[in-house]
Amino acid sequence: METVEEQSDEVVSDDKSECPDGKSGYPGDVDADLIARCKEELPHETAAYYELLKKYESMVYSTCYRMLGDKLEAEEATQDAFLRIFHKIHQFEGRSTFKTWMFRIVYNFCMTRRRKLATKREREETVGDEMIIRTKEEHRMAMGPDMDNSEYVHLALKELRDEDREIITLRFISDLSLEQIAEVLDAKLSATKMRLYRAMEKFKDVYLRQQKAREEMLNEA
Amino acid sequence: MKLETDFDDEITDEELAKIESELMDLAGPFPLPPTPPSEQRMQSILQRAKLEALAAEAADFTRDGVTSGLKGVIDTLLALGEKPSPEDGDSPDKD
Repeated sequence: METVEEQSDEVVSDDKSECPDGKSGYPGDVDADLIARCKEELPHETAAYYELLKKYESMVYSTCYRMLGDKLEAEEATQDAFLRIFHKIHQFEGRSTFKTWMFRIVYNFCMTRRRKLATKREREETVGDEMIIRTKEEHRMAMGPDMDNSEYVHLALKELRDEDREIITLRFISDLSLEQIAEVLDAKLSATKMRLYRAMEKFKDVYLRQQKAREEMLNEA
Repeated sequence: MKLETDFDDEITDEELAKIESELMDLAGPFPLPPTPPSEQRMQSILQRAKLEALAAEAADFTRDGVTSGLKGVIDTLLALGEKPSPEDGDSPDKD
């Protein structure tokens, strides 16, 4: 199996899944028309590509942000992924949906970036690649009563292990099906189901623990 | 990265759906809404893509230009090579 580093530097193949007719793209791919237009138009005309950008940029950026936990890193990963798509879309053969192919690229870029970040953090003698809220002050600030629920969700996600946060992100932010997640992660469907299940259980535990801590803090105040 | 690939115990779709539903009850806006689209981010991507495409074309053009230029030089050198040397006693320069 290729390493993640290699995958992000090379064209991401879409040959992991079957394409029944092998010619006209993945059956039912909602993006088939846009992809066909991109292949005809790029690089001189960018209207179809811009349609793709408008459709997926926000979802890709949100995915990168949840995976990397840093806005600047997320912006750069999003840009890298869409540039790769711009240059390599003519090599997309429709053996998976475009969305699956795109998120394999996004995932690989995020993994590469996260490794670099982890190395950098290790060099800076921080806690490594787990995004842990480190100081009591940060913790108290992060749990302030003024936060809305989506911020509590974000806080709980931050406390998960990277691989748990990844799969929850792919399912709920990238809005991928289990089959698509399995393709992106290059894993078996049964393993993907189990991994998602365990990640959701962990999220639930963390969320409930943080909720309890917030309530205790409010009672003390 | 090594992923877990095999399990003895399988999770059913119902079990997955149940915990997804629990999370949605528990954590309100779960799944989280994506960050709103950013025109600035999209334009930045588009501009960079266009620039890179232009740079690639320019590189091709330069390469082609160099290739055709080299071909011209080689043709000229070949032609010069075929040109009779003064030792042949037939050079127009002699006159």
